[in-house]
Amino acid sequence: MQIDIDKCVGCGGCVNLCPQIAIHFFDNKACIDQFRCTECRTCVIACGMGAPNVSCRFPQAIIFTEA
Amino acid sequence: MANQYDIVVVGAGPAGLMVSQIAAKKGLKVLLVDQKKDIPKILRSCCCNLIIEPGTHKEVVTYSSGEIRFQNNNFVVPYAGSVIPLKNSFKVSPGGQALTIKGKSPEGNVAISYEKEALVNGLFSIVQKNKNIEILCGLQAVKAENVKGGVKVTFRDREKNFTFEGKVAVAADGVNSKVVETLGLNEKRRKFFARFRVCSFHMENVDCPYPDSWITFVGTGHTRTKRGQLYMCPKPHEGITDPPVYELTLGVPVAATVEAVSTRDELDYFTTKGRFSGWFKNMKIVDVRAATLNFYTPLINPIEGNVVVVGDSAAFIETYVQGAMMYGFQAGNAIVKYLSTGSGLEDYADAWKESFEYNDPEEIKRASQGFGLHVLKDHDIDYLFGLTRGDDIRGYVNEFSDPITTRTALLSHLDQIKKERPELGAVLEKFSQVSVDDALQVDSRKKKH
Ligand SMILES: Cc1cc2nc3c(=O)[nH]c(=O)nc-3n(C[C@H](O)[C@H](O)[C@H](O)COP(=O)(O)OP(=O)(O)OC[C@H]3O[C@@H](n4cnc5c(N)ncnc54)[C@H](O)[C@@H]3O)c2cc1C
Repeated sequence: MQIDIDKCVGCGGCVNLCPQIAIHFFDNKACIDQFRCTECRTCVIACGMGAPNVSCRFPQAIIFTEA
Repeated sequence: MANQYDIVVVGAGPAGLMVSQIAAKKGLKVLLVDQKKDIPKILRSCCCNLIIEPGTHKEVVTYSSGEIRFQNNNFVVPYAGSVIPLKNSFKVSPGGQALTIKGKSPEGNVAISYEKEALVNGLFSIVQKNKNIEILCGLQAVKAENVKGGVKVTFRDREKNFTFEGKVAVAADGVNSKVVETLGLNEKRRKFFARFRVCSFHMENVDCPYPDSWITFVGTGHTRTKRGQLYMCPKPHEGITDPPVYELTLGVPVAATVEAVSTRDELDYFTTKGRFSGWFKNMKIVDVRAATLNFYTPLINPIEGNVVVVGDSAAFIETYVQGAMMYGFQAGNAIVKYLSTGSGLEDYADAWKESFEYNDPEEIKRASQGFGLHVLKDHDIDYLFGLTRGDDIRGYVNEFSDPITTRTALLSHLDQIKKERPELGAVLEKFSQVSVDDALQVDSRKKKH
């Protein structure tokens, strides 16, 4: 997942709800750590602004190495 | 290497700022941490009305000349911003009928609209001036643990984790509190209702036929998904009150499995194609805010070991900004007492149990009855609101009492309704019979575990 920062208003809703703790606050916007994200889509469901989107799919290998 | 403070405060909203200020004034060493870069900058939706109904949270809150006064707790908070007194609360039906609640305060107000940024700015500048408070921005709390002699809180920035230890930690990280979650306290709540998504537009040039008022758009036809609650009221904007900026807010419950329409798109729809789009023909959006909120019943006990939970962290968004400050004040004083005498945290827990409305299941029941309006058909709401034309209904903007005010106003016409629309009469009467058990039904999901 990635955040479209033009759509994100920085409400922080997804940050505390992400089960992987993959989203942090950077410059008052949400920012997704690509190494932690498992594309579970929690943020997509949480966000009313349509800011998170699936614009990159990480190779499984990277996720496994990180975990 | 752990760092030792008297108090580690997580979250610098109204609650966290208040606790820090009270504790540091008594000489305690405070670490205050927020994930935002600019603490006073408000990014999240908040209608920010001062709830002036006496007795709310067992307190009497008033505003006059630059001060918000908490009568029973006997303290004041400076507020240097502007205000707009709201004179009426209008509930507007889909067909444009209005149920009008007039202000019940001595000044004839239903609430006072103020600017959260100005309030938080004031609190923040007090905190910044106190040398006993160290402030860290841009760090997110990810975990809190009770350890021997205190609490260990783990934070992180983009790359690294940091651990700080306090004799006491304060969870003031708001409605989706990470501290509360990692301590396992959400499991102990009575009920999880739903997750809400919120979006608000702040707009100039709104052609609003109800000035100086709190407006609730009732009925299902305002959004494409036919769900959600819509509110609007004038706001001071960067100190300016005339002409006012209008804040329009939509809150929608979302099911975890459904990818609902974006709340922003729903507001676009309401303002351009909705039934009241005429009001917004010339409007210009000056700010957009949002929120995503997990809606739980309050924590029955706001203390876990040496962690003290304050404000929204303990109770969805119903503590209000003023409650966040009041409970922050009470928690701060209780912590000061605890660290000097070894006891006193219970003072805060007792005050919380005693004064926060939704700790009483009967209050939750009353609230669910009033909001029974949502089960009505749009044309029924038109009919009902039409009946109240000319009624002298008095009340406040306050979610604890508003449902009762509305229900009483409608039920005063029950005889006529039963005669003219017997089925609707029956539905209305049923609202009064929701049991506490129904209102608070334990999730079937939870029961299985
Ligand atoms: C749509 C809406 C309308 C509302 N209308 C009103 C109203 O009319 N009147 C009223 O009085 N109240 C209203 N409220 C409620 C009000 O906003 C809250 O009750 C109040 O802000 C609670 O203050 P708090 O300090 O407990 O939490 P917050 O104000 O939420 O502050 C929490 C702070 O913690 C920070 N934080 C969060 N997570 C972390 C983390 N993991 N690590 C570090 N920092 C973190 C946040 O950045 C934030 O600064 C409304 C709320 C909403 C959503």
